[in-house]
Amino acid sequence: MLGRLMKYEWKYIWKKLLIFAGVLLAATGIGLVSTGLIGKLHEQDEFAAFAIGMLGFMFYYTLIMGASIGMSVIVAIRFYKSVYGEEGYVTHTLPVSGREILWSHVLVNGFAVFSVGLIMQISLSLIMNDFFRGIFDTATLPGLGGVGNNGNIYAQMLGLSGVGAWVVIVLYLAIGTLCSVMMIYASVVLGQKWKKHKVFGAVVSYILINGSMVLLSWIILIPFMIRTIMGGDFFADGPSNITGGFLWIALAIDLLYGVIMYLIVDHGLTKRLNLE
Amino acid sequence: MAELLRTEHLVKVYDNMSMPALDDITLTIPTGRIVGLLGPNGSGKTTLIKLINGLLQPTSGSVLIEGNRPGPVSKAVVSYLPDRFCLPGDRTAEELMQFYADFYADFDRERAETMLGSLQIERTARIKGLSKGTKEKLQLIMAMSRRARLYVLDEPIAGVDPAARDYILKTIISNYQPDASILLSTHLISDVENILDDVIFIRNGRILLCSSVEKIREEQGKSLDAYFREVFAC
Repeated sequence: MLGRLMKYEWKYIWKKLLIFAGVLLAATGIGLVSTGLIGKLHEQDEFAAFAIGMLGFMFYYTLIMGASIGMSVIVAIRFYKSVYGEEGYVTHTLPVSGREILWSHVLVNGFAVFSVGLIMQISLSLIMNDFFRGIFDTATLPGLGGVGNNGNIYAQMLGLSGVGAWVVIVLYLAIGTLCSVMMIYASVVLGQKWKKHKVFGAVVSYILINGSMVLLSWIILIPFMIRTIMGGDFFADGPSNITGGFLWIALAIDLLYGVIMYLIVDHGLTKRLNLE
Repeated sequence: MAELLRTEHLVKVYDNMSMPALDDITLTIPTGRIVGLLGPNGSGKTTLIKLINGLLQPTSGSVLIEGNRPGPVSKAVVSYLPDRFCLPGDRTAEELMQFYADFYADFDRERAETMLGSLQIERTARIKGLSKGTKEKLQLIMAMSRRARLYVLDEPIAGVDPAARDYILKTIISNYQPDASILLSTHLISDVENILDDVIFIRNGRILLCSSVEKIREEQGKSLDAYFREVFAC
């Protein structure tokens, strides 16, 4: 039955995913043109082109961020409506378990969020090299350790080969997506505790969960950052010295939160379901 | 007659209420019966129906459908019609039939198509574009097109015109198998009186009466509607 549930989730999401992918492609085009204009500052000293390029780049960034947030909002609304809204009466009277309902949402809508995230990362990797080169003279600026000068920006930031960096990024994105989708679903489940303002409750829950995650990240990362900076010549070694470490810690925190959120949602759908 | 549904000492207290919505409900519904669940507003009818369908969790006590607690196994044999419209509006009747056929092994597509034709409901129109009455009829058609063991119908005739009511009641009677049962809640007792075998009177979350309609008529010497008005007089 999980496959059938997934089929209907896919029917709901695929057109939206296509639209978001289209927006991201268009945004990438705008971003490429914009970074080209930004680069003219160093090459030809054209400030007007640089200014237009910066505006274009901001528009690009707004579009890709908007696409990412927009897809998450769609996934949240879909879960709310089909699990706790009027459609919940259909969903929860199907001969399937609460766990199957949850996984159909996680796998299909999680895939949609993941796809948007991946297109976003590919887009950023195409554009950020040129952006850095346009803004800074990265060959001589020690703080960036030459970022933007050679090859893929992620490879340089992670201190890996191009393929290795993409494997890590895809893994990070997959786990990050799972965690983020679970956080959205857990917020919706916890929002049900608010008797009259369930949507407001879900938003407050999301802010609290996200806030606690940021706080935990800071608590863990600050000592790590101090140790890393004190222990070596970070600026000379390049950014991979610190970004690589950050990534693995962030990944562990994502995993921890993903598991906790899953337990909350699973409990809410299997033991505490009350469609009032 | 085999036992189809059993509730034992069923209690439901909502979080925001001090009084239980259902208080110590113990009842049995055998196969082959049409049972009316009757009571005034707020008496606990919908709460009981939701508990049977696993949409609410009991505070204490149990619900068993053919020996199973509400879950995937029981939901495969229970056909539920909620008291509100809840079908996804972006689908067509055609897509809805496919959806039901995908999930319910007992869904009879031919029966659904016949009913859609009789009620002149367009198969290719989006549900959200249909009138309120047509949406309710469509929801009833989907519920009654299953060859379920237990039909749980919450106010099936409340939102439709009197002419459609007759069709719906005819549909209900003609579409259920002798080994199935129907639990039907309604306020419109005079409309359903002739099709009911048994009734359950419920007030303030407690069962007042559980009896056959025939017995009520014999013992009270009045129609079920008249007796209901007498029992629940304000």
